[in-house]
Amino acid sequence: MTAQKPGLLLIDDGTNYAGAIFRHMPEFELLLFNPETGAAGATDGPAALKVLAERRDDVDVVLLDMHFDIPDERLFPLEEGASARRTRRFQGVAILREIRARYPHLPVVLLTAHEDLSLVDAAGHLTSQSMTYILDGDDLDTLRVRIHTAMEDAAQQSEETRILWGDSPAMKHLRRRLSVLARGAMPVILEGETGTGKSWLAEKFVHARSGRTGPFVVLDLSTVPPDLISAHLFGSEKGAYTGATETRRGVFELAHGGTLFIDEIQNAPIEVQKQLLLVLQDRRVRPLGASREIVVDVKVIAASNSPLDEAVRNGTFRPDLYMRLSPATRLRIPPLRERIDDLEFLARRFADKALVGPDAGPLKDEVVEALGLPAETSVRLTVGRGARGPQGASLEIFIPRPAWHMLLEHPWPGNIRELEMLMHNLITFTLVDALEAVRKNAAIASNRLQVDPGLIGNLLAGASALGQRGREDETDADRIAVDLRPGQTLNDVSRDVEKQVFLTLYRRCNRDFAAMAQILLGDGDKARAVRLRFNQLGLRVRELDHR
Amino acid sequence: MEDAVDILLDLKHDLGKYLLLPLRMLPADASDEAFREALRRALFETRKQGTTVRSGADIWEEFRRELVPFSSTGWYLRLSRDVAAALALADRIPDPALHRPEATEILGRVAGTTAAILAEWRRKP
Repeated sequence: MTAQKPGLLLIDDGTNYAGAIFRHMPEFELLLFNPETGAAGATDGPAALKVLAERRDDVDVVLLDMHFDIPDERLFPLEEGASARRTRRFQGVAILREIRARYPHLPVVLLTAHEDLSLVDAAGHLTSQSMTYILDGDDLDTLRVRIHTAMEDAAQQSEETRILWGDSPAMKHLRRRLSVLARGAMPVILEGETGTGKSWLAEKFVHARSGRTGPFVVLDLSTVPPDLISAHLFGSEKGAYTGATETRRGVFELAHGGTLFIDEIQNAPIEVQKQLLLVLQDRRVRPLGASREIVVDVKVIAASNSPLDEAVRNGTFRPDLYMRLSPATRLRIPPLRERIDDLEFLARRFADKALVGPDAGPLKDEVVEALGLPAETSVRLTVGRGARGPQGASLEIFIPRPAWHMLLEHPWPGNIRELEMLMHNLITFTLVDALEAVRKNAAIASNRLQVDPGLIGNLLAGASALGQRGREDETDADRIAVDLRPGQTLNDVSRDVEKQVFLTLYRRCNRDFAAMAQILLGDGDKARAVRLRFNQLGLRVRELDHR
Repeated sequence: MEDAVDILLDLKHDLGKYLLLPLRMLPADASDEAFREALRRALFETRKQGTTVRSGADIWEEFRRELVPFSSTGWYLRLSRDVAAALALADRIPDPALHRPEATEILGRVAGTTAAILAEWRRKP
């Protein structure tokens, strides 16, 4: 949290609310409030949309009046046939509709009562939307509670945002630049290693803030055979090539009015790059085999896991396309090792996420119960020193300093995705170990579960092994062959690979989980952890043995 | 009657809501001085838009003209009585015997009565 006050944008034709909020709610910053005239941030719908387009980052909550006594030409239409009087009376509904089309996750408090809103046909639809709140009472306390509720809900929804951004200067700089580049139709180039969150940024940040009402469409060029990339990008007519059994709409056409995210653009064959260049210049696409051209209005976000200027120098990427994509809009997402100061923050966030997830969540409840702690006990990750002072009913999952240093020194080739997976496994296995210890009546502190440094070592070694081509002491018996099958997402692919490894080991170890644990974790006592992961992968012993 | 519904809905907003707003927006522990200043704003700066300021009396006068066709009806008489009581508070702003709960109750009657009249109409077949 920053020390900055939360920003309120008040959309109201009058000054009564603005004055009251300015006088009595100093904990908020009333954006664009003019103390001399008492005017609110925006006095009609068009002005509100302009402010949001320019200062979306400053707005934490919108307060929207319902009744606007303003000239006809400043009114947004309400519904067909609505009188001017009715359109004025429910202008807030019309403005909310426009805001929602552009900013679906922006919290909006409607300064009206349910009773009044029930007179509008669209009210049910509008108020059932998440992040829309009805004031229902004009007193200061109600307004304050509504604003806080709206901000807390928004914070909850943006948990993923916080996880990704962290607090490092590099990420803050990136965020500022992306906020600007999100607007308008200029293409954006996102460069970053695998796992840094390029696709997430493209969708949840750039597209979400672009103000574009069309869809967000993704094409990952690493998953498309090179000879089919053109058809995927631009579409194709039936019979345009062998196997084109039906007319196919390309992603440019599908993304019309919205955003097209082209992932791994460095994989585009040179001849496709030429076509891409023409589309970006002319804003028209011609599907393969078609005589017609389609006009497209698309914001393009191109992502690459290696610097595109290097590809230009190597001759694998056309310089004219690179220039058309505009190097000025090229942004690099730093790898995790370059923002290692964020590690603790990120680790805690991912631990919190794991603790409410389907794997570790139930285990956490079991551990709390087994330790005789109250059901409402909060469980959290602590690092280095552990908790500072009494924190109520809480249980720490504690990473001692030497183990933490192992994490700090790890190169994190899989970046944030790797950290998330590691924290998920670390929390899960620590809880499994704690349960086993309780069942064996081993001595265990009732408020602290210490993470086994060996576990971190094993988890990191597993990750590092994936990055190595093979070890010198490796024998054929140590190797497991897997079929690499394309999936919908990289997570699907990794999961499929892991599943194949577990299945092969299960057979190789004659269904002995302790033997598998010895191979995977270097500790035959960790059979339960392996069994748990086995189940998480959807592998079922009974079915396998039956086969 | 459709006209009257429209007029009363606007009256509930322009007069009822804004007569009460300054007092409702006052913190619970506001000083007596702040209360009287809020009451003054409620009655004399009832609706502020840009540089235009209309008092409660101005707004009621505009509605009263629109409501002339209904001036002999029971609901109009109830409403005009409550509005008159609210506007009469202007003379009592300096009166030390006038406290916030009483003023809030009197100002709140305008919106309350308007809402009650509209509800009665809605219930009628």
